[in-house]
Amino acid sequence: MLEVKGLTVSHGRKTYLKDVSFTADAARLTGVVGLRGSGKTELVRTIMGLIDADEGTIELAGTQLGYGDRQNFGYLPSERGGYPRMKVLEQIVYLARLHGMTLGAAEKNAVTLLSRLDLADRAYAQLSHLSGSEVARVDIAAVLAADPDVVLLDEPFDGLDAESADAVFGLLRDHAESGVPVLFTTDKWRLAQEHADDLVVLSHGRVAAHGTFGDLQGDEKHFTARFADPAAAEAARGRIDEAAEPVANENEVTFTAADHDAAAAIVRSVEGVHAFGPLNRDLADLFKESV
Amino acid sequence: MVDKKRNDDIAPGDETDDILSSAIEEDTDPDDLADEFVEIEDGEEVPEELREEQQDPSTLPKTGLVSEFHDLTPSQAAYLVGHRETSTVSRSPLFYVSALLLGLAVISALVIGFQQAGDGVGEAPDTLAVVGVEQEQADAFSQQIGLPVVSVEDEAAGEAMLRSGEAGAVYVMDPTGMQPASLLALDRDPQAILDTLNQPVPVDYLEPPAVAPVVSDPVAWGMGVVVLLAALTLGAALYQNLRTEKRNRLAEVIAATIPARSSAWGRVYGLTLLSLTFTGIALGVLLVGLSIGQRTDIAVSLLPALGWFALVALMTVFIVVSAHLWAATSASRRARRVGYGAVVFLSVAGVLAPLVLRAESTVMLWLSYVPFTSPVAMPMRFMAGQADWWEGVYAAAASAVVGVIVFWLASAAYRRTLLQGAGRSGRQAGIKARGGSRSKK
Repeated sequence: MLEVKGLTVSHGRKTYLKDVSFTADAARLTGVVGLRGSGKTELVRTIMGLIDADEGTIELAGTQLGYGDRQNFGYLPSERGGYPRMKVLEQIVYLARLHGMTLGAAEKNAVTLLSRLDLADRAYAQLSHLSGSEVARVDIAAVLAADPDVVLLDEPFDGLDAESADAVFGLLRDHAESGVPVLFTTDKWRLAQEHADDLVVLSHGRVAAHGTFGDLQGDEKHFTARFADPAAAEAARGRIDEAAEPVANENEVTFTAADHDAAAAIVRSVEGVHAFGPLNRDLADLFKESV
Repeated sequence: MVDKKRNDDIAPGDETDDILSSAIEEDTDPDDLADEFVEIEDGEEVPEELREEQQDPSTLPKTGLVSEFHDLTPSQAAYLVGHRETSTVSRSPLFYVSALLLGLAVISALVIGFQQAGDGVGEAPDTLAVVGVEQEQADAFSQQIGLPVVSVEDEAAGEAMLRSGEAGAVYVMDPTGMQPASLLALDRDPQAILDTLNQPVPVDYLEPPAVAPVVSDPVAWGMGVVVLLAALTLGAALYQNLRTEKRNRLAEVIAATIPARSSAWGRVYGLTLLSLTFTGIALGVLLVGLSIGQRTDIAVSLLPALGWFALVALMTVFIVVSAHLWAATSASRRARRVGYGAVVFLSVAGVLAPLVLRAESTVMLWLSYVPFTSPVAMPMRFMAGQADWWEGVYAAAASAVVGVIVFWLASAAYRRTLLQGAGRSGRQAGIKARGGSRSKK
């Protein structure tokens, strides 16, 4: 379990991270989501020990991490490319061996990973001859080839098509299930919502929300009622109890209710409802609410 | 794993198919039938010593990855980095082109050298100084042989003319008249004078060279080309690789896994050793070329100078490659350009200085000790027969010491700035030398 406690990183007047705390559990995928500039990269680099935190600690299995304790962390920086003139297999093996992996194991793992990422036929191609999607997959393979104890990926899905992203998630899932924490950052809300077990929503360097997608949705369900026109919607909003947090938007009113029956009761209390149903809010909607 | 079964009660040769068929036909319960068989493992048919270890599939990780590690020492980490660096560089077109150019340059130097030897280029002046005769006699002698002849008071005055280049030889007659006359030359045969004399005259040298200047001059230029080509080609490769790593943030990946000093050392020593390829090509082509040209005697006479050149050049390449490491670590592009330019200027000036100032023996003495100039100046002095073996050791040691200092400074700068300028928040990063072994899984 990787535990981040009260992490604050600043430089000059700029504060990149402010009191960031969360836990990335073993055997689970933790997605750190946020807009560009929200502090995702700084968070990963700080966890990797590449940036000194002003405050806070990072613990792995209850032990605070010091220098030299991250040698078998798998780290993917946000930039792609690797060594352009190096062959794919050689590059993966080289980076795995820097972790102390034996040559035989590194080669075996490289072949296994390339096969799973549909790159088996590109093993002996120079990296500069690969497409952007292929390079991105090679980078993922290079991170996982050392069978790392912790996986930290900064924007791993940049440059990946949907099919490749699914293959990468399959790998990450398997790796997580081998008992290691897997943490990735992304600004692709849908991907994070669909694949991450736990979510950390970062906004302006702070944790805006943290938990499973279900946790972020909360106990209260959201519903929406559609009216003939905005005026009718606005009139209906005024008649709904404030406790239901009604919000009018165009010709719709959204409100919260404990369950479907309670929502139906609220709908019956107003007039002019054309349609009514649960509101399926995705992670992006939740993010907008949380900030 | 496929379980194989056998019936222990059936002797070889029995009609097993019939027996089994009859058992089935009699509606024997399949479970009962199975009880009569004994399960054995695959390995039981294989001798113990030939069995392969097969991991239980249920214990294999879902990732399908193998997890075998060893303690990676700093020297092993340096080897990995160095091996990657050299294998990448040695496969680059720049390396091949440089090596090809070097070979062609040496062959050209050989051809030009042989041609010059044939044309008499580089010979001593054709003025003859004669000791102890009147100028009238000298003039008469001049008319006789068709060359300028001057009269000097004594042998010392003649030597002064030799050293100043005013005369190509001094005609010395034996005061007793018992011995034949001889010629005194500076460091090379006064071929034009010898050709005009009616009878062979022994030649003594003031500064007897180990190698004829007609050979040593092009060889010295060749040495300069080798040093420049090796140092600048490999230095540029290191510079480019470091910039690539910084741009792609591979520097961060490496910094997180191995000590920064190992990374720096691996690059520098790997590329320095790779420079031996250039030296080897040049020396190999030179010696083979001389042998083919039936100048084995020259090849043999060149060996000491070439040996010292190989050693001192190696140390110089170490300095230059280390300096490139330092130049590549500067955060700003302007500082990098200035640093890179300074290294290139020093390298070129260091090679050219001894070639330009070769006539000044005192200057050459100092240049042969100074790093950057010593790989060319010291072999030149050896070829001129002016250097003792310990001077070669001194030059190599001086370059090695300077190399260690430059590497130490460059390595410290590399560690300090490894993560700077690598993108957003590229602030002072906590790069520390990491000691101890990593934790194995």
